[in-house]
Amino acid sequence: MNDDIKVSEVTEILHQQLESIDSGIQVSEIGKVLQVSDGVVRIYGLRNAQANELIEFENGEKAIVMNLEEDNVGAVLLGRTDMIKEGYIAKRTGHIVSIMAGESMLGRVINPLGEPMDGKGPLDGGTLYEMPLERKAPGIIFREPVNEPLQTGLKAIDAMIPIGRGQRELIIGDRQTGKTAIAIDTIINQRANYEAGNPVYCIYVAVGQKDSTVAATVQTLRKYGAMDYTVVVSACAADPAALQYFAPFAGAAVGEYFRDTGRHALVIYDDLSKQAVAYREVSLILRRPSGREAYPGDIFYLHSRLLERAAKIISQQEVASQMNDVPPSLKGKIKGGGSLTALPIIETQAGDVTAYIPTNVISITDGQIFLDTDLFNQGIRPAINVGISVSRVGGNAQIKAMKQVASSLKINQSQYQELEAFTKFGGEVDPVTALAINKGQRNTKLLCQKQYNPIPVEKEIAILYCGTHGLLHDIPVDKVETFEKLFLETLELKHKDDVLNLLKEGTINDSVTAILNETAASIVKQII
Amino acid sequence: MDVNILSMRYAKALFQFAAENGDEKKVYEECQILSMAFPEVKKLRVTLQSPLVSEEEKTLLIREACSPGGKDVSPSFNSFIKLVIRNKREGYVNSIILIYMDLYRNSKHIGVAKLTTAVPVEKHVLERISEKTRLHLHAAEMEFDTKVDPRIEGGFIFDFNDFRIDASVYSQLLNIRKQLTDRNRRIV
Ligand SMILES: Nc1ncnc2c1ncn2[C@@H]1O[C@H](COP(=O)(O)OP(=O)(O)OP(=O)(O)O)[C@@H](O)[C@H]1O
Ligand SMILES: [Mg+2]
Repeated sequence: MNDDIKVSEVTEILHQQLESIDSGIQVSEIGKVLQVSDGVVRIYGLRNAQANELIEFENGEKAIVMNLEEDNVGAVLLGRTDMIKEGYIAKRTGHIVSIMAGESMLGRVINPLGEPMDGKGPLDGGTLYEMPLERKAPGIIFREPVNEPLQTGLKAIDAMIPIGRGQRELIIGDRQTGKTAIAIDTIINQRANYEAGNPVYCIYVAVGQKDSTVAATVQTLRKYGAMDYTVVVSACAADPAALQYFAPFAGAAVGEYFRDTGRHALVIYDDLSKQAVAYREVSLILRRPSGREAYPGDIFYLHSRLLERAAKIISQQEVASQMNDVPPSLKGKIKGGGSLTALPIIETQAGDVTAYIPTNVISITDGQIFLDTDLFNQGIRPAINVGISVSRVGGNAQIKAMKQVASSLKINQSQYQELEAFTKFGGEVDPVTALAINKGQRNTKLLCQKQYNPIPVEKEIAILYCGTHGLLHDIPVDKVETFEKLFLETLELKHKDDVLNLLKEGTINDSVTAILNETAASIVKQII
Repeated sequence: MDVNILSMRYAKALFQFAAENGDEKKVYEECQILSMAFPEVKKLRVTLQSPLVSEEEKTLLIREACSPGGKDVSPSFNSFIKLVIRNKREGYVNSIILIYMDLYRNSKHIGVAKLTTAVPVEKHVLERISEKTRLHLHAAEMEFDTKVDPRIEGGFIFDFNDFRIDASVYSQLLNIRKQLTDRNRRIV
């Protein structure tokens, strides 16, 4: 509400709202709080409660049913423990935890229950659809192989570890290695799609981060105009473990709203290690048996059912409309051809990918982008360790021109990283090796990219063409950046139609390569 | 061990044992008194679980809680208290007695109901409500309780078995407030 709003208007609004108030009296099922401790309540009664049902206490606090036993239920609190006392009456709401999703969520910061956190008032405008947080992933017949690229705008990823729409690609690395940076750049890079009227809606789920970090991220996204098509779901470090545990599911539910209405969405879970820790906390307090690293036995299932919800939906409308487990609010509104791409993030300790949670998530996803502290410290950023990073399905989704240009890049780069290690011992190298090293050094430099600086795919192809064809052979390594800048500027100025637009569509022919060679040669001359 | 499985086993054993001794009704009444003590006296549970309190003191405490002076406790319940304390299951007493009460009510077809109103209700009205509820619940007998609570402003709250009809003015106002604030929420 603005400050200059008239009193009479407020009265009018309140009047309208009062008319629509629902004061119906219902019979509800109740139970009594037996015990409350550390965010978990045990309630006697509630015999018909369902798993994951929302229950409400007499003072309005809420909890979610997690354990169903013969005579009592265990529920995790979504608010503060000290607000609930022994003997309180708990009431079933009949609702499975869900989030109201819709277009009006874009640009907003919400908590996992869909309540706005950004002080901009309620979500208004447009219909909201009730999406359950826990929902079965679409079955095999409702899916399609990944065949459309999701451009991250990062040269190294789009060329060597391409991501397709509907894919699940893990971003894994130690702390402070630029994991979040990759995700944020990918979101920023979707701006072009948004402007072209074919948006990829983005959902950034922040789990267990500091409020200030989330605020900074939102600020960055806003600065680069990315909030227009982005929803931020946040359960910060100070929120109850249950909320942190549900946050990724809330993100998936919002993503599914876009996916099932025939649109494209990208969801980022930053990060699932913290979610696993929150789930471990909840499970231990619920006294569920624990396994390796004290995680409960179903921690694998936690992540697999979450990540399975990323999918490319079949474009045949007749089939898609029969999709399984469609929430009632979306009945009859399903459209085929949508997709939900997931970029989960996992934090490792001292580069150990063999720990429990990392191995789990690696095996569930369609590939991983491994970030290396050493590379990061050498200034190679994004610090992608090419050797052990893969994308198992994205290759099919790469546009043709990129495939042609970058096909050898990944192998060459991995070889170079090994050769380089050898040459550190000094000594003579044969001319072939020397050539490989020369090229590798320049390509490594070429693949570095500043933060918040994603570039469109046609420019990626053009510049990588120079790298893979050895056109940079003669320029010193520290001039590579200058070369890139001049080269792309020249193309932008002089060859927008006859090169860039063609590359964008995926065509690369002799006339295009001729121009690329020529432009590169002239710039090399300029630099030396 | 699981709270539920454990409490269930104790409760069933107590029920069978009391039935053999023929004092299951007395035990039921004692459970009722004790179950009210738990939410009212917050320290009861803490004290029962405290390792600093001796077994004798705990026994006395439970006996005192279900019968003044701790004298008139039924033999079955007395044995039960001793067993629970000897097995160090004092922490589960609350849920055991709740389950016992359910077992007892189920076997005797007893329905429970509680009517909360802002002002006292006439006796014949109560009787009619009780009878209606009994028929509705297919119960042989009703335990009908009333409570006058001016805080609910008006209307009534009616609890029967595991259900509640909340037609109090207080809850309705709360509900309106909630709907209004939900709509106009503003986090600054
Ligand atoms: N491509 C890049 N170029 C330069 N600096 C970068 C790049 N990517 C990340 N950084 C910087 O590295 C730091 C760590 O990045 P980021 O926060 O993305 O890492 P993270 O792995 O998500 O860290 P955390 O473990 O704290 O979540 C930031 O200060 C960021 O600005
Ligand atoms: Mg981060």
